[in-house]
Amino acid sequence: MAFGAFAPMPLRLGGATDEGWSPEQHARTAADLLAAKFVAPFAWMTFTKSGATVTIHDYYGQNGAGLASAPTATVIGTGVTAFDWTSGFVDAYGVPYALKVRKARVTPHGTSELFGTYALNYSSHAFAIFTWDSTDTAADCKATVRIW
Amino acid sequence: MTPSGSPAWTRSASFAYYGGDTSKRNFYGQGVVDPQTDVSAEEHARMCADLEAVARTMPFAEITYKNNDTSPAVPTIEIVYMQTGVVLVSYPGDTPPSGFPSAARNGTGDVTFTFASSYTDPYGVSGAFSVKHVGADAQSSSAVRAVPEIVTSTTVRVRCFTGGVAVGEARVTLSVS
Repeated sequence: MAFGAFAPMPLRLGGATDEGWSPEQHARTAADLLAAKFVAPFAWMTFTKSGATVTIHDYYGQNGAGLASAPTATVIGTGVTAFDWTSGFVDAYGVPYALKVRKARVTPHGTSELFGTYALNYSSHAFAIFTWDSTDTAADCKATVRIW
Repeated sequence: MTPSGSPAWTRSASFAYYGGDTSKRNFYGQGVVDPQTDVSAEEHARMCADLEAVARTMPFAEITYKNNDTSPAVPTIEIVYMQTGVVLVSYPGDTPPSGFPSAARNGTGDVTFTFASSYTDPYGVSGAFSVKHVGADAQSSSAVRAVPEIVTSTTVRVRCFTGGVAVGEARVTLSVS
């Protein structure tokens, strides 16, 4: 079966290994992509909370990589920052999706003992990140958040 | 043959790298004739968009290691899942297999991992790598906390504590992206 100009979409599976795509290869692609979709985080975000200032350093999201795709931060108090996306997102084909955080993992950065927690739908915000020191006292710091 | 675009860890994935195009369509509007043999433009489009999404957020590395503090020694890297390969046989942090991170002991519960500034995909395409995000979790039945620090774009330091005091012999899973 020819491909390319001789057989445009739909793709016909098969052909030589250097020109075609076998059903077995396509099946492996589909299965591996599904596996990755099940477990891939929706986003990684690293930010620093310092007093009234929140700086988002980097953001990798399924809605886009870069700060333009990151949620908006709101300072709640010491060690507490809330985040919201102002809207859902639209993928490369224009298909819209709602943004709904279902779980997160929080890792504070530092040189002393720190830990993090999160809350969903916190005080009218999509989610909030809490960071704490070794005495369980709220503490500002840098943190990485993974969101699913 | 060189693939389109750059490797996934550069976080520059685009659906276009995979052949996606918002105007791509089935030839003369003729859809799938036999779903057992054909892949439609619509199905291909979904794959491209989904792959773009997960390529942006897949961790670069998930590493489980154990600190060696009773008899102080370099940490033991037990399992590495990386976008460039998997290691399931443990190795001492100072003798990593080619292409995998090394680790050095700084003190009790305190290690530094070093990554390369560039990695190469199966097609020989290299892409720059720099650490932007880290997560760390101790594997313990007690209150051990693993606290990472991005020291440079290729080094990550992780310290383990309990009750505010450095703790040794901890086993930790480190996530790097």
